[in-house]
Order: sequence, then C-alpha cells, then structure tokens
Amino acid sequence: MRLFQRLILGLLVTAPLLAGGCKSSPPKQPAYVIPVKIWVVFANLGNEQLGRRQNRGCRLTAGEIKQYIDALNNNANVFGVSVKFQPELDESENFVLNIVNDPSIPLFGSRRTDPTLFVQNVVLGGNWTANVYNIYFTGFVSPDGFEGIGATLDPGNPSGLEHFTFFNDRGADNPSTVIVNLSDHSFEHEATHFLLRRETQGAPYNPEGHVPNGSQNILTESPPHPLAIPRGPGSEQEEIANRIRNNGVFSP
Amino acid sequence: MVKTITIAFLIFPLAVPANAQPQNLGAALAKLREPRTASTAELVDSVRFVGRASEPGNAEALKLLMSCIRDCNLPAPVRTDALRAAVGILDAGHASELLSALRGITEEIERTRKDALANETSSYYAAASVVSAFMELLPLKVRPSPDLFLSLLRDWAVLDFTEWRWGWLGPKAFDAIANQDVDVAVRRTYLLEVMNAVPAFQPSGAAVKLLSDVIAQSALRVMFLDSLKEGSRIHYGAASILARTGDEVIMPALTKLIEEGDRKSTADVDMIQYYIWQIGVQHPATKLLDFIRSTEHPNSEARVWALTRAAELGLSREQIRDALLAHCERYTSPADKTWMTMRPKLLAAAMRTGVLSSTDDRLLPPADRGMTIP
Repeated sequence: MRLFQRLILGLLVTAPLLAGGCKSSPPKQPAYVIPVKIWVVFANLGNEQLGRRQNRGCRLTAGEIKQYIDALNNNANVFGVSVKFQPELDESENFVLNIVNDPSIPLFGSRRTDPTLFVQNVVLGGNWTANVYNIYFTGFVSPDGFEGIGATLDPGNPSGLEHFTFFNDRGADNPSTVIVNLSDHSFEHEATHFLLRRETQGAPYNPEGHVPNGSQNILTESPPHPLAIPRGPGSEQEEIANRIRNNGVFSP
Repeated sequence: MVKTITIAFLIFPLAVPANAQPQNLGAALAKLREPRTASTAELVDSVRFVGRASEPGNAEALKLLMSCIRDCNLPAPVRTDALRAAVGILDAGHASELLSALRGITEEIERTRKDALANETSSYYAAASVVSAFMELLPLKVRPSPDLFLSLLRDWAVLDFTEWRWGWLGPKAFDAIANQDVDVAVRRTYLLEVMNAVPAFQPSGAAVKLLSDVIAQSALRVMFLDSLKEGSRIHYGAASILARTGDEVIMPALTKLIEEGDRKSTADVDMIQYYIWQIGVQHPATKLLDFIRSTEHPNSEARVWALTRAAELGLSREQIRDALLAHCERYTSPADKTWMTMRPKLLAAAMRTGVLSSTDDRLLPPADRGMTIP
C-alpha cells in the first residue's frame, strides 16, 4: 500500500514535468548582456550630492536612476531579442554610480549646459569606457531653444567613440524640481538609438528624422514614445538582433 | 500594445494594393462610415482622399473625419491623417466641432494614461499622436473660435506641466497662446491662468513680453507674494518674469528668502540669488553694460539676457556693441570651448536687437563650430 501510494505520489509529481517536457514551448532564450556604465554628472562645486534637489547638475537619487534601468530591462522585449542591460555592481549588489564633475555647467543663472561643452569636458575628458553602454545622468544638457530630455550621440566619427546616451533629470530650469517619468519611454527611446547606432534614420524616413511616414514606433520624435520597433526581414529589430548576436561587442 | 502596433506596422505597407486608392469621394466617405470593415491602409487612403477632394466646409466630410479623430479604436495613422484632412477643409462654422473633438482627445489621454504600460489595447499613444499632429499644424483656421482654441491650449499646457509630463507640449502650447493673432488682453488672461496653475514653469520668448506689462506684473506679484506663505510652493515662474523686468517691489521678499531660515532649506538659493542680481543690475540700466563688458560668468546665459535687456531698456546700440566687443577681446583661440558655445548665442542676440548688423559677424573673434544634436 505504501509502495502504491509512493508510486501514485511519484506519478503526480513527475507527470506535469513530463507533460511539460513534451510540449512545444520553446526553451527560454538566454539574455544577451549589455554591460552598462552609469555616470552621474554634477557641477564643479564640491557640494553636489546624489538626489540633492538644488544641484545644478543631476538631481536624481540612486533609486530614481535604478527605476530607469529597471524599466529599460522590463521593456527590453521591444528590441526583439532577449537583452539585459547590466550596470556594474558593487559588493552589495547596488549599481556603481560613477560621479563626474562637469566644469561647463554654468554656476550662475540658467543651468542649461551646452552639449558641445558637455561632450568635450566630460565624455572626451576621460570619462568614457570602451565596450560598454555609457549612460550619463545629467542635469540640463540641452541646446538653445528647447528643453531636451536626453540624446544619444556619436561624437566619435572623428574620435572613435561609440555612441553614448545622456539623460537629463527633467527639472530643466524649474527650480528644485525633478521629474521621473517612466511612462513616456524616453529612456527606452534613447536605448533604441544606441542599439541601432543611429542618430537619425535617413531615407525612407521623413525629414523630421525618426519615423517612417504614417507609422508609429519608439523612435517617434516627441514623447510619449510607443513601445514598438518594426520587426520582420530587414527591419530595425533584425538589425538590432544581428548586431547584438554577431558583432561581438555585446556577445554574452 | 507592443504587439498591436508592431503587427499593424508590418501589415500596413504590405496591405496597400495598387488599386487601394478610392475612386471617388462617395466611395471614400462610404469607407469612413464603416471604418470597422476597412483596413488601416484603406482608411488612411480614404481620409486623405476626402481631405483632397472635399470643398471647404463639406459638412458630411467633416463629420466623418471628426468621427475618425475621436474613434479610440482606430490606429494612430488614421486618426492623425483624419485630423490633417479636417483642418485642410475646415471652415468657420465647424471650428468649434473640431475643438470639441480635440477636447475629447484630452479626456481619452487622461483616461488611458495611467494604464498605458499595462494595457496592450490602450489608445494613449494614438491620442497623443493626434495632439502632436495638431500642434504641428496649429491651424489658424480655428481662429473664429479663439476662446475655445485658447482654452484648449491652456488646458493642454496645464495638464502637460502637471500630469502628462511629455516635456514638449506644455511650453509649446504656452508659446502658441502667446503667438495667436487675437487680442492681447485675451492672450494675457490665458497665459496668466497657466502661470497660476504651474508655479515652477519659467516662460521665455514672446510670452515674457506679454507678461511684462503693468497689468500682468501686478497679477504676477500677487502670485509670487502669495506663494511665500507657509505650505505653498514658491512661484518661481512669476519671480523669474518680475526679475527679468527689474521689479524692485519683490526685492525685499527675495532677500528675506535668502536671509531667513525656514524656506531657505527648500528654496533654490542659486535661482533666487540670480533674480536678485537681475533686478539689481538694471538699476541703473548702465550697470548692464558693465556686466556685458566684464569677464564674470563667461559661460552663463546671463550675458545674453543682459545684452537683450540693455537693448529693451533703450541703451544706445553703440554702447552695447562696445561693451560686447570689449568682453570678446579675451577670446583669442577659435578652439576655446566657452567661446565656441557663447559666440553663436551672443551673435544671435546682438543681431536680433540691432546691436550688430548681419554683416558684423567678422567683428567677433572666430570660433570653431560645435556639434549638432538631432
């Protein structure tokens, strides 16, 4: 009786596993890891700290930065290939946040920092690492005329740098304010620029730069950005997948 | 949401047969009457055809196009093209209907915004693209209903600043109110309503001029001084305009904010000190020339503001130009990073204010070109 009970019990335990093994559900793809280096850009004042809302540089807290990275990973299926954006971790498994002081952040009046100076002083100033996705959390780096949220740039056709992203705290010149906005997908939008290695799309995209006429995708010019990237043969998703799988830089 | 959009995108270019173009207006309108029976490509073609083939004010065409704009089950390309077509054939009699449709979009965004991430069928992004398309058009044809139009822009500005947080819509809607060809008093009223609702927003451009007259200054003073009460958010927006215009009335309150303790910890001391400086440097106005000429704060936009303000206050263009050229003497290398950044800004401000003419570019030391951001 006991043996019978054991047999029944064993069958009950193993049957679902056996059945599962026979089903055609595909094995889970391993995630391709994209190493990320996080930089937090402060003004050259000596008193700026993470999360300080009066900073002239980045005003985000460590938790807010983590929210952006987590959201990027949660939505990474949009890239059409299983990827994981993995920042460097310290012994306590927290993200390593590399603090850098930018002498080009104005210390008087508007804190708007010219992108040219930011790139010259920060990125080309020795604060860039090869073979990782360099993400700079900044205060208000933006050209005149609009309040940019962030950008993904390749200053490097002459310099040899790879693309990198800078992302503002979105407080602009509104004193003491900071806006964490995950729902408009601006961070994912910038990561798409990075993975596509494109600043602008060129033909057949429209003159505004990003999106095929009549369609929606994550590279839509203005937020909120839909979580969608064209897929299929020759599509942007395929381009991203091929780059990640084949080009070696971000091989698992 | 992701699947829906990507699949729609894949299908869209494939599903356009060569003969998908409607043959006549009647056929196109028929498609719009029964949008559930047509493909996205057919609907896009139909709304475009209706826009091209209809006479301005065609009531049936406008009714069907507005129905497409409102329909939250239709994909974004159909709704945005319907908007463009409707604006193309809009007449005065239908302006208010279009604005009502757009007010419906506002409600749709509010309804769908919070669960847009979780809900795959959310029409949030399609509704947002309609707003975006409208802001690209900013149709002057809706002018027969200026109050409806301006109130829509006001509501979009306030919602974007306080709730939606898209970043671009609030400032754009605010500027659009300032630039409409309607009575100054009407525009000023709507601008002040936005200012009152959004204490952190600091306007620029045409709006500042509209908010610099006596009536607006009086309202802004009330906003700022009221905001200093305990528990209120300091109204930096009002303070920034009053400071630009040199309003000495608020100077004691600003100084008190810096000197006294309670609010200092939560106040943005840097910005308040900047406001105090802006007011002080205008009294007398010639102090602006001293600052322009100096080497202080070389990478700050304060010098661009000071140059503009000096011209607004009527200082002679020659004096301003001499001060600017004296400041520029320090730059001897075209590769100087600060000069690369500041030269185009100062040159543009000088030309805009008549301090330099369009051929005076050569008077400023040369600088290398910076990078551009797409």
